[in-house]
Amino acid sequence: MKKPISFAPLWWGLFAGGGMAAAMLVPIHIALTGLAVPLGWLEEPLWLYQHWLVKVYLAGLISLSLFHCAHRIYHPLFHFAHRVYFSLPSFALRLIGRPVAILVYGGAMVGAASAIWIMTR
Amino acid sequence: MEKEMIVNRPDNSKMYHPHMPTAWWFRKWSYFLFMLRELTSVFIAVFLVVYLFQIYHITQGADAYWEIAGQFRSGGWIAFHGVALIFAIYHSLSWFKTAAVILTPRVGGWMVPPWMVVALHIAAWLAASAAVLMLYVLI
Repeated sequence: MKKPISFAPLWWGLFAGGGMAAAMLVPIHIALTGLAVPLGWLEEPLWLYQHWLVKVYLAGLISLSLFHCAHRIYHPLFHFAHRVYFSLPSFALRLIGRPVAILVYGGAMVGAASAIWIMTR
Repeated sequence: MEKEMIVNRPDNSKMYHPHMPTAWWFRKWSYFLFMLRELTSVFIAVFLVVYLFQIYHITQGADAYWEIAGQFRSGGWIAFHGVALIFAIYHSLSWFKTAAVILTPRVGGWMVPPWMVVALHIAAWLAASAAVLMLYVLI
């Protein structure tokens, strides 16, 4: 018998990869571009962004981290709305859940596509 | 029977679910920390979009970057990035703690203790951060 295809492992894989990328590298980028550069402690090395290796690195980091964020935003929504969530019949849950999933994961996909587009121009 | 089990999922509303108040995550410090950890992703996502916006302007040329760079010196953006940094560090530390539960590496017959897995992740984190910092300081 043919089992229904589940895309859950794909999203969980992106969640795990993005989680590690975000954990290892996002804090330093926030500290540098969000604080040290605007406060005048350091300068943004603009020419470095032209290097292909930096472009690949940033496209990968931003895309993976966005998928991680999408997963972490989507799932707790049901914890927040716990009461509403469990009082609804399953067809209603699917009706609500699907557009929310499309919005959240779609947002991550648009972000990832934008990152790749910006880096490959 | 097997087909029915796969295709017909149980109706969620007919399953047993404990009644919990809407603000259940305010009840216990650990619940609150769990929700706070999930919230870190919102700040990280906003930062990533803002960073992507900056990178877009950098690739358009230095003048395009300097045009938008000024607005990130405002108090609001500095405060946002300050909070985002605290949340991002919290995400990192909680992620490494989780990694120690999931990853249980073995060297020969010896199992690497969880504290060492966390320590190795923190060491890698500091090394990666130092490498990125070097690009700003030395180049």
